[in-house]
Amino acid sequence: MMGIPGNLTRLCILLFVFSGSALVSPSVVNGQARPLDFKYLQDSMSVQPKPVLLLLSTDWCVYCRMQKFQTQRNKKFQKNSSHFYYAELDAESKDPLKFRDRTYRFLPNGESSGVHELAVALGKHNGTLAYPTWVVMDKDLNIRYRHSGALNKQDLQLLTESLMKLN
Amino acid sequence: MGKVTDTYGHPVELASVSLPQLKMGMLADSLGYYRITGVPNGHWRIQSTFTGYKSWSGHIDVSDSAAVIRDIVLEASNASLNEVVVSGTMKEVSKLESPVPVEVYTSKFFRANPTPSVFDALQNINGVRPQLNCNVCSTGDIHINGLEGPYTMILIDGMPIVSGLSTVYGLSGIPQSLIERVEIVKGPASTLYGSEAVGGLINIITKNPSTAPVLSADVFSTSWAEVNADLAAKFKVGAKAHSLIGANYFNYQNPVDNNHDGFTDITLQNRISVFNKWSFERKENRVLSMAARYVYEDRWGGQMNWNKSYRGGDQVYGESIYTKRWEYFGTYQLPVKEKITFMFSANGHDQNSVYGTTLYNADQYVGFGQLSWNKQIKRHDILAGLAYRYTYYDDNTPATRSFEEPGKNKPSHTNLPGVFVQDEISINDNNKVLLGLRYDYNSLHGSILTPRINYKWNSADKNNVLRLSFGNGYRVANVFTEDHAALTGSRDVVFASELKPETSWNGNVNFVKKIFMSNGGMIGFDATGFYTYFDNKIIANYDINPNEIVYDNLSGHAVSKGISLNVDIALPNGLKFLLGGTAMDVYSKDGGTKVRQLFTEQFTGVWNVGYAFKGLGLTVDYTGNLYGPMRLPLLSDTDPRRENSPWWSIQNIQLTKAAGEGFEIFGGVKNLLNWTPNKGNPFIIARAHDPFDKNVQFDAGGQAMVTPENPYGLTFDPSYVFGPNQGIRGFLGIRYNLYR
Repeated sequence: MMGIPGNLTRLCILLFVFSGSALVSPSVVNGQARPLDFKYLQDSMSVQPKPVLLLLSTDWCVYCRMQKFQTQRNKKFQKNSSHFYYAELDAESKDPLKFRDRTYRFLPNGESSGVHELAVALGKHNGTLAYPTWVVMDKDLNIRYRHSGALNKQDLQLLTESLMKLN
Repeated sequence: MGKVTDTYGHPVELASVSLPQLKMGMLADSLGYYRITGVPNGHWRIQSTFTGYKSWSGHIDVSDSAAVIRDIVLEASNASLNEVVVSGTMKEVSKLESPVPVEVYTSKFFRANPTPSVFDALQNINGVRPQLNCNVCSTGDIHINGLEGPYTMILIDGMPIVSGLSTVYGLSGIPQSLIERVEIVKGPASTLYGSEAVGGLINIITKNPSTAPVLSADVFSTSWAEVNADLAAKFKVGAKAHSLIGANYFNYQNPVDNNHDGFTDITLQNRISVFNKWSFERKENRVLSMAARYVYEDRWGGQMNWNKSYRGGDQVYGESIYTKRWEYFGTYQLPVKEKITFMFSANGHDQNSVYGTTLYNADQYVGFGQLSWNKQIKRHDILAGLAYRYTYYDDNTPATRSFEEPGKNKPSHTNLPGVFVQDEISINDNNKVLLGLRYDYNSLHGSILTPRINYKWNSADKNNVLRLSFGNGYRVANVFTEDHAALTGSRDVVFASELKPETSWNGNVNFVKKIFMSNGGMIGFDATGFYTYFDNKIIANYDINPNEIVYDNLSGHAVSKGISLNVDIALPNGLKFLLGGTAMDVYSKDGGTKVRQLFTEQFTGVWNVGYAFKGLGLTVDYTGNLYGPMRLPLLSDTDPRRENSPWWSIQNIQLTKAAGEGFEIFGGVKNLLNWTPNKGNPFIIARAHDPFDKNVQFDAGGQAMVTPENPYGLTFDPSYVFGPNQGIRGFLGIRYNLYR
């Protein structure tokens, strides 16, 4: 079957095809300094809809931290990030979260473990959930693309460029 | 129009299909179908591309008459770009938020060197050592930074399996495909887990039912004809109940005697264990989880011609142990507004064993219940609770003999009620303190007070974390269940006095530093210093008399101290290193003399180097351990065996290949250097040809005499053991995971 990178390039083709020749708006590039807390995503969306890039992570996942670091250090990512919302979701967060009119809860699996329903709903890929998982949503919060695994610098940049085309 | 499929006939969704001369194109839909309309008549080139596949091209002739149907088969390309291999997290990390240092190992980590149980897998972790205690029966326990097994607490999804025996048996039987990760705390953990948790804590986190494989299997065999099989499945009952079920079977029935001493080199084993866990969805995310496990094991080692008809006799020497063990444990959160949780655990352990002519039959039952209340008030996260533990123990040794009525057995009943409170205070974004205090009342030994202090500092970017932990531990030893050496061989067990509980004070300093490189690489450092001071340490003395093991509380004190360093490196090209080293000094001091602890090395190293070949689905893992010299028990001055073990190393290599459709094939070589403890020793089991000392002549003082038949003046002794007596071997296995 198809590999993960296939999906990524697929996304680019997909985005390219659907967006036609949409270009990056030449407006002022104002980097999103910090990732958006998932809680505030819907409010932000209702004020100004933008495509969404979501990173599903856990506090014990070191690759997730590596990815977060990359998003902060990658100049292209920072530069492009004004065109979309970059949000992070802790997949083991215990707080209920609202998403598209439904409240999602933490599903406990024992005294010290469990997973958030929303992380499963958004990030389950090929039947399982691995960390980190990247999720791309369009302005209407439809999931357009998922990738489980860490992305290298080039792929991360590619992802942001594709996101801009979703505008 | 047409359909795009791969060579297996699966649709290739979103493959692009285009007519380059006309600059027309379309993507295949989810079933692989595409349709391009409005194509003018003519002879056109058609091409299709998709990442991971070789590009395809052909020609079509379009005329007015009919739609052109052209199906496309895309061939997979080996040169698929940048297959991302770091999906899981093989690396050890420290949980950031907790003041208690938690190391996390995912199941992927353990797959680098497949083993029949999590117990064996822990040899890959720096500072954690499964120690073999018995040359013939190969039982062992886990040492964390030099602290013995009973100081380590085993939990499954945070639910404690409360039992002194759980470090050995608590880790076998959970199929590795059901394990998401294993969390390890080295040093004093929360007061929640009682005085046992001073050495450390091993928490096995099972996969969440929503993301676990529907079905999985993992089977491997070695060239020594060892077979290990794991099977696991998940299912759902109604809308709210999820269950994971798994079984593990390990079989080794092929006696091998490569060192020609007439004894089996490694112990023959037949083990089956079954695990079943349920979790229920409840209102307000309340927790209800319970699990049960059953382990049955039949193991024996001894002279090559031993069979069950010789069990317990003095004709052919054998050590044979049947173990039956069951556990039932769970967590229930009360349906009230406050967060009040009830945890329970019940287990039974039945051991029927012979060590030569020595019989040892023991039963242990433990019941445990704990009610805890958790409340967050501003910066305080308070946990308080009540606990009760009941232990029943009976065996056929003098340990449970009645003093009042000689000859009559008197099982021991221990009641251990306790109360605890702890407060985790977030001082600010960078500093956290955990204060805990626990009081237990042991019905045999009286009051036990266990304080805990943990402190954490982290830098603003959280890349540097310092943790300090301090606490004490308390242990009532049962030498028979904990120390198999007490039973094996010809040595008599002697208690010099009534054993008092052993107490220990332990302090740990831990510093974690992570360096992230902008190209996607990462380096992590994790350094720990530990110091443990023991009072009343129970010492098994082999040195007084070769025919005895004398157990006594040390009148002086004992110390275990050391430093360890872990370095993990992940490079963006797929190369990973995990390197660890621990230097420690474990000794006892009685009067002015310092005595190094037996069977304890001063240096250990561990490594794990992995590389993933991009595009091939192939992974190579090179794992190994290095051990410094250990002091070993000799029988006499004339004993020709080495007093200290040499530096030794076990190294393994493994190749894993993804075979598609959820299958994975793995194989490799274990113990590449073919190292066994025989190297440099004339023998490792003393007088293996005369295990019942029938031809040993003793002098008036009970010492074995040097005779022509017995040139070194020894008795039968299998307690000289410091490493697995199993040389080089190949292994091959297959893994299958079905996800839905």
